[in-house]
Amino acid sequence: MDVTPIWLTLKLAGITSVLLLAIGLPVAWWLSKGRSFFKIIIEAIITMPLVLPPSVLGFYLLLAFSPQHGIGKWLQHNFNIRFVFSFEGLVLASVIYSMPFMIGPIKSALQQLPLSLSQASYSLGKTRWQTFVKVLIPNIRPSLLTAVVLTFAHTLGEFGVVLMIGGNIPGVTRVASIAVYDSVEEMDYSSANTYSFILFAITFILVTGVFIFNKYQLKSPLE
Amino acid sequence: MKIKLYNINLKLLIKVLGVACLFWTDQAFAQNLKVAVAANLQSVIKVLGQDFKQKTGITIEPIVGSSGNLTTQIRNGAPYDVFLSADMGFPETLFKEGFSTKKPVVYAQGSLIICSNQNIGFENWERLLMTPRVKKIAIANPAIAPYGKAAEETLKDKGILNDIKPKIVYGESISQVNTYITTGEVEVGFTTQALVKDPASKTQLYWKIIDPKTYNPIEQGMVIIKHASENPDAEKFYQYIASPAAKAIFEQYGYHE
Amino acid sequence: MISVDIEKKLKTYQGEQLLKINRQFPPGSITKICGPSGAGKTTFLKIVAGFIKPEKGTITAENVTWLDTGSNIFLSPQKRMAGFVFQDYALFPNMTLQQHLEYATNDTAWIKRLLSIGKLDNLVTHKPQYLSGGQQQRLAILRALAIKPKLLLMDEPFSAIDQKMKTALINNLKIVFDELGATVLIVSHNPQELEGLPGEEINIHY
Repeated sequence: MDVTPIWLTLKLAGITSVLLLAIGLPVAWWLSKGRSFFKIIIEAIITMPLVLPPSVLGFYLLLAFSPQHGIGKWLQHNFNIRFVFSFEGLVLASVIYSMPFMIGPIKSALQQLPLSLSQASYSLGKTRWQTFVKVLIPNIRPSLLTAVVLTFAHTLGEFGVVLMIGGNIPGVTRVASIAVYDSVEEMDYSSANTYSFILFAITFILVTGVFIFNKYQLKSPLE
Repeated sequence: MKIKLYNINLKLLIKVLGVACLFWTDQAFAQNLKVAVAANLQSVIKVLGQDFKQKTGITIEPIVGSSGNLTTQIRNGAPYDVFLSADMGFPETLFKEGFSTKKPVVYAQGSLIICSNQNIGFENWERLLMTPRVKKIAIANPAIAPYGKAAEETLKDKGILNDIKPKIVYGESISQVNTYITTGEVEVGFTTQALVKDPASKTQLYWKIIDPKTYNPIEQGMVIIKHASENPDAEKFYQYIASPAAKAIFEQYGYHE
Repeated sequence: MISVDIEKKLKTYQGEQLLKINRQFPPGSITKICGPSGAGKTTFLKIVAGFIKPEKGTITAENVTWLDTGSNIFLSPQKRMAGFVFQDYALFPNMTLQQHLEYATNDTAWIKRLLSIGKLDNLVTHKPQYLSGGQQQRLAILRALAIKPKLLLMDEPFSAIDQKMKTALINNLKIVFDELGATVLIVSHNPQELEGLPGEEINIHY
């Protein structure tokens, strides 16, 4: 049985998680401060992938990146990049699709930190950035871990979007979830079983791990 | 007091909706004939359905999917009455496993075409596929879609399969291949002639028939599913598909005998 | 010389109240701020520190304008460098006692001295959750002093410290305040505990 789909899936989930951590931290921080109307709209948009059917996202991405018009054409013409049918396209789609799983927990955690913590840091002459890095982030570690693991696990299970824009290319976009689907369609139930079990095992261990970790972390004085 | 009224109204509403739903679904299930059709028949089945209804008064409900997908569903108890596949292999499997009482018969032969939404020039398509002008080529997944298998065969016959493999993109079914072609996600795709013969299609498409000698004939077979073997409507539809009237419609859409 | 002239609307149980303060605090002075709960003492301190903006007002410190609502001038808390001792201590759960002070300053001699004043020398590797309430409060005071502030704002800073420790601490603090030439504002709802400190008492009330 070909194990490339498993590696592809792990690779996709890993890269997506790292990218989302880099993007998600500053955005979550920005969202956690104050509630202007603009921020509410942005937060709603970011949360959409939680409730939007993946096929809708896939459909819009298909249209947006078609090489015949708009952004797709510009990318193809200038950089010879095509997001549809490429691993990079899957990363982009996964970043959008899993964003609420990264930003949600981090934003909540930041909001639960007492305001006086930041104020104390400012009174010592520290900038907002220094405060963010030295005071805020270290004190939301459990939520950070939860966010990363949830993002990773969620990307592992991505199917609908990949189905629409992946093109099922072996070694490139044929991730494990697609491989399971194909195996079932081809009536190769033994492969389907193996892929499914591996995915199930990984996700189960990850999610259980997060819950156990959180349980022991509850001794943090801020809870 | 206001709250109490609210509560009563809500409960009543839910009960009414619940009963209404029952009635709704009940109507749908009772009469229509469920016909599972391979994706390439997507457009022609509508016309066949209308013609059949005119002649017999029976309404059919088409369920479109890739032949492999539909077969799996039937093996797992999907409530379809008749199955029109894109090949003979899948219906034969169903017959062997006892999911149909009669052997499958060929109702039409499919035509493979190469197609694009750009006027790309298919005169020498084997050479065209190798040029950088064509970046992505869509074919249906050969393991589950007979038209994809045929596309692979013709590419092998022309000796270019391995060279262009990096450019190939696999659609879950002919439907998805058609989507990729019409939205321009791929420069070129291999699909069924029915796509371009469909008068309802709004996109301008350019195409060429692939020489049938370069691939195994796409013999599309049909079966009546076992649980519908006593259903007179199913038998009627089965006969209708084999009739000259139906054959004429098939030919309009690029199929042949 | 710190000059404060501010007006801020407060939302209290009795409805909206106006906090209005117009006062000057001479350099090196210690001012005790007393009054009933909820009258706005903490809010006042936070306005001076720059954490809260009043609707109207001006604050100047040694001829530098910290706040002027009329001209839209607002100096950030970072630039004001007013040492602040929070009522809830606001300690950093991720840092040890030593790290708290090192976060504030590089001056290791100064840190050592502060530690002995607060009698926290042998607890330097402890994180806040492993310190008692009184120890945490002392750390909060030391942290504020670590930056050698010219203005020190203290919100109920001795509430968790026992009488004996308090007297010794206050005596030591008096010396430090003198050395730094700091202007000090202390909030307390119990004026008696501040008897060891010289200075005027002002009252904020409804």
